[in-house]
Amino acid sequence: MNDIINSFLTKLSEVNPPQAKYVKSSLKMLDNSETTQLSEYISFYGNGFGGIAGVNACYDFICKEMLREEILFKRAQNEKYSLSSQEEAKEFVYSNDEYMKNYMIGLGISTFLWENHLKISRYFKENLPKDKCGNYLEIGVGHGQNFSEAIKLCKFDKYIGYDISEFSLKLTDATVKFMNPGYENYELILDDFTTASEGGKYDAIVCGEVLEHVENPQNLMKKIHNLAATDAFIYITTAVNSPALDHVHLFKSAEEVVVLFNECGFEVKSKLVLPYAGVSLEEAVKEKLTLNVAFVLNIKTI
Amino acid sequence: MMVKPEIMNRLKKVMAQIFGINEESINDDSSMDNIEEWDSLRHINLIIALEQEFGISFPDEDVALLTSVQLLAMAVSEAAEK
Repeated sequence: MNDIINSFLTKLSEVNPPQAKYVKSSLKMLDNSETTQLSEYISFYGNGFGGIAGVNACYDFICKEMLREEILFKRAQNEKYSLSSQEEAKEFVYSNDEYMKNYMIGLGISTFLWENHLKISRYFKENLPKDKCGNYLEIGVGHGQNFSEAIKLCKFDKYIGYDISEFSLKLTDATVKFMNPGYENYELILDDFTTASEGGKYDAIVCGEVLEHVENPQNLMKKIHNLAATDAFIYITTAVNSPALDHVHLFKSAEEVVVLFNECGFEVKSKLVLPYAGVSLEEAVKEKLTLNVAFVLNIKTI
Repeated sequence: MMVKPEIMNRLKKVMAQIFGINEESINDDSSMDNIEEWDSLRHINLIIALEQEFGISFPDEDVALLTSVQLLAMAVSEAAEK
């Protein structure tokens, strides 16, 4: 095993032995390039945030935070998330740099260690249009990995990324520079996209894990529809029955998400529906467990 | 704090039900580290089941940390006394 990953795992076994056991097993999912990339990200995050121990602390934080939120959700019979407004999410999460650091770095590492996150990351990279030109818009850049991969793999003329969190923008900027040294044709904008005045047409619009963070996902999807070129690559991911501190809109089924898309003028070109790891889709639906869903959409033709 | 035997027995019974294992295989040193079946999903179900069994509510900030028989027994005892 790679020395850096080994150090990460050793440290994790001191602070969270059950999670270390899980991670040791989940590392087997990674191919060689993903293992290398995980190692690079651990180093990269560590350089800015307290070494491998610091990265470990972030990952441990997100594991415990997610577990706590899942228990709170279950107490509410899977009918209600902890927060119900973007204002609350901004107060408790997006304006809290310490929380955002733990959250974004923890999630960044989870891309490689959590089965569903890894599969969605692969699905994103597989579906990205590698030869398309024009303008790329990403709403909610978060930890910046998708934005950076798009720059690395695609040939768009310009990449624009929005996020409501200043920490996310700084991390994304650093990640772009780390993964694409010297690349400059991108712009990162600190704003709440749901209220931002954004015009023009985009040839690719990516909105990953944002719909569940807004009070009115329909308004966001209609805005995306207005900004998308007729043949735009549109990629959306969200989560069903998936508690997190800053999730405010509860989707109760994958079908509900598809209906939303249809109502806003989209049709589904392809989709990926992933149940809670270790559980069948049928059981996840029956027990109202988390589904992670990813879609490639087209503008509906009349 | 001493944990009453009755609490420990009821705790282990609930754990056995949630994990689908024999009660005899759960001892005072059991934890998420050495019970194969004790994963995050079952941990969630365990917390809810214990709250219902004992009529208690664990503090929100503690629920993710209660990953051994000892910790659970102490937490149940403290919550039951309130």
